[in-house]
Amino acid sequence: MAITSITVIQDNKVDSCPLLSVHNPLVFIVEANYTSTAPDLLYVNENIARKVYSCIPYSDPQAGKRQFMFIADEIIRGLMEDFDDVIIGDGENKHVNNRTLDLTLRFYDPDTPTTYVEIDLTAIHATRQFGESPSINSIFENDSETYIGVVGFPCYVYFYNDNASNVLSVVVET
Amino acid sequence: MSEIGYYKYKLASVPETGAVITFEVGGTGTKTCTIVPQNLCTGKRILKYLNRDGQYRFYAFSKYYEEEDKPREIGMVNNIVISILNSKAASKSVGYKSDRIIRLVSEPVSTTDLELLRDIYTSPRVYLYVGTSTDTENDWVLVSVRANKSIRKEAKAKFSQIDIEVTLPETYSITML
Repeated sequence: MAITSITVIQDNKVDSCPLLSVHNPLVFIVEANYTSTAPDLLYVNENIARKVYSCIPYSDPQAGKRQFMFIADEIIRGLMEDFDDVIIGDGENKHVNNRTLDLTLRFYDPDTPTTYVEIDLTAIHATRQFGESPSINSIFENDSETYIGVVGFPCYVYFYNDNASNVLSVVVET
Repeated sequence: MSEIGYYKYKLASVPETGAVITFEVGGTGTKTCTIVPQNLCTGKRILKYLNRDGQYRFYAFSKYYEEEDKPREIGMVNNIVISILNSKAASKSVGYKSDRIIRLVSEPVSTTDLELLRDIYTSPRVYLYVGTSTDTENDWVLVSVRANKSIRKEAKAKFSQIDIEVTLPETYSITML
């Protein structure tokens, strides 16, 4: 048995949006191309806690190919920080540390670790319902939003930054 | 330089006319946030809750509210009676545990507001404002929310009412324990 290559079948992304809701079912499916006998084991690790997990054999779509799935939502939720609110100063635009987590999943052959495929994603404390994909495009693309603000009281508004080289500024019109 | 992820901007005070906040990247407008003003009745019954997008939102409730305390006596202990002339009673109370529930109402609530507010019923983090005029860590208390009914409808009258129960954290009291 030898896995010759691994490809991604389902990465849960829509229109290349890497932002995935971690409070919804998140199942990643990869396909191992092999020679000789079908592999029973495919491992996956993540770059945060650096733990290793075993994928579940899912289907054999044709000879020489076996698909494996990894049910990731509970595991990724366990890696994320709590979502308590943090008070910031008036007029301050601050990064929210505990709401998102960048991570990389590496699916690899345990016998030949150099045969692998990686999925980069950003897990977010958000949720979507059946019929809505776990990919949070509306947040990633910064769709316009309406907020209810109590007169005379503070209000938070949010922005998703997808590039560390971006220079951010805020304009307020009243 | 910036970090990848959510950024939160705090508008110090929402004006009566509302506000439009634009996030710019490199000087180019990227996201527009429209703040619709909600007038605050005296009493400052404000809740802050985590919504489905991982954002904290605010909502003010009417100054007309109802508070209920539910005390439960922990128990009694015997009082050693030396003299029936001086001893007040044969037993003494150990103390009380109590839960405090506040019932809040908001009306009229438009269908749009109802849609924005729906996540409060299932939010794991809801805070009640207990301050006077500041917004610091000490001005918020973590509470739990229960609604008598969480029905949203497109009513002919276009406005409806929200009733919710807010349970405060355990009330500490003086006890013999």
